[in-house]
Amino acid sequence: MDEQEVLDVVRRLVVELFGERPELSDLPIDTPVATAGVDSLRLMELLYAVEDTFDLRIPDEDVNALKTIGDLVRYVIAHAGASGRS
Amino acid sequence: MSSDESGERRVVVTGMGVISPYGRGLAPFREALFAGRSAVGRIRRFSAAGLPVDFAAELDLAVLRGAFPDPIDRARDPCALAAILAASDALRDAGLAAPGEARDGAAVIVGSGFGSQLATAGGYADFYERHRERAHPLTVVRSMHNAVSSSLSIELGLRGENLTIAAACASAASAMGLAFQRIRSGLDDIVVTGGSDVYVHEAILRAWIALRVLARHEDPARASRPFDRDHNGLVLGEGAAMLVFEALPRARRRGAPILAEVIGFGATSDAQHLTAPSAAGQAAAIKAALRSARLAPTDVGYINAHGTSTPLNDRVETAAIKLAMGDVAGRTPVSSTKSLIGHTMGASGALEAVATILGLQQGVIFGTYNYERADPECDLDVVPNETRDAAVAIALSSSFGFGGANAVLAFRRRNECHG
Repeated sequence: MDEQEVLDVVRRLVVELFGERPELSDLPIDTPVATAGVDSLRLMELLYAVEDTFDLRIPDEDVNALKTIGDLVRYVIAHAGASGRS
Repeated sequence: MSSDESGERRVVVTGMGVISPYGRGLAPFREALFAGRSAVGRIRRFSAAGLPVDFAAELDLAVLRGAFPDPIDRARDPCALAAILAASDALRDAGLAAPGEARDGAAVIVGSGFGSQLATAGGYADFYERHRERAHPLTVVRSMHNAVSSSLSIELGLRGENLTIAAACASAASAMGLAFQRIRSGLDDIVVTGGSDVYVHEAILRAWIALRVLARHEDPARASRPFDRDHNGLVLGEGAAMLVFEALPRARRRGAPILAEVIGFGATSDAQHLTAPSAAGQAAAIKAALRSARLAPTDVGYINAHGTSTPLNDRVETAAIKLAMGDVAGRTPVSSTKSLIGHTMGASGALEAVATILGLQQGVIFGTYNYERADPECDLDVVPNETRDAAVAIALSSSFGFGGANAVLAFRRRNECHG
């Protein structure tokens, strides 16, 4: 998957989990999602969905570096196996 | 008077909200009770075909979740969702729809027997059934027992203490009793109280079947038959009811609607057996409620019984009412809301308190349905099969739970509250 495809999937997960929220859909991909109300608990849900969808495991030590949609997309591209599904 | 001769503050009900199998709101609940329409039907949530019992009075989870447009809210356990809707309706009913000084300090004291069982079951299903190596990250906070009261506090912005009371089938009554005592003593001015239980799940149904206490009947609507000779078990039911309890002076100052007065509460433990009830323990709770309300048995115009429809419960409760009420036991009208809505477990005390108050307001006693031939060992004035006109001034509502928890509340009709 290329960056745009991964981004589309992550954005879709965000909508599934948190609903249609302009503050999230309009959020620049390198702005922390926390600024749009995705607190640490919600971020755990998002990471869980990303792990599931792209068939990868995000170790605890990597979590603190994942603050934006862009972080997530780059992480998926770097780590997702060939079995990534959407 | 806003306090009685002992200086204790009077406590009134200023709002009520109900989520029942009839739908959301007081009106469908009242209309169904008035018409004697059963909420019991075949289970739709999962396939119960082939099980010895395949019926219950379920909430519709799709409708429940549909009331929450935001997926973040919708992801809560259904027990919390039902509680939030009922509490939000109760606050609106009390004239406290909007956050503000009058409601923000409210405490939340609610009962739940099962707590967030569906979320818990979902977590186990992920592990055992779907063999997922990772649990959903919100499993802990969705399934913790106090998710019910903490959800109310968070969603409605209520900053008093929040407590979830677990006392099996007496949970809501115990919660309301604690709310009453805290306002009466001056600890709180306003408490959102009641109960919620949403738990019909195949594993839980199988556990109840194994306990051999569920009603068997070819017609689900006729299975719950408290005090009837053919009663043979209880029917699982779900729901939530929340009430706003307030100190009378405060309710008057803000011009709140006064629906009824809470005048007494008594609670005891049987200290005897996990499931078998004790007439002595139940009678002691009824007597304690009468003492707390400074009532004589002759003052009581109606008892909303626990009335589960198990032969053992109904007979022991009959004996308890006789022990507590003495000579007037056979002349005091008794009915069981469970004949229509089944046993809503930890929510039952709250749904039945609402039914009791609606009856006081309307000058009626809602009947005990499916009461065709009296169980000779249940020789009470069981109001049968229809709504009876009765200008009751004072009513008791009893709840008795597994583990031997007994809790009884006393209510007074609104137009008797002006003293």
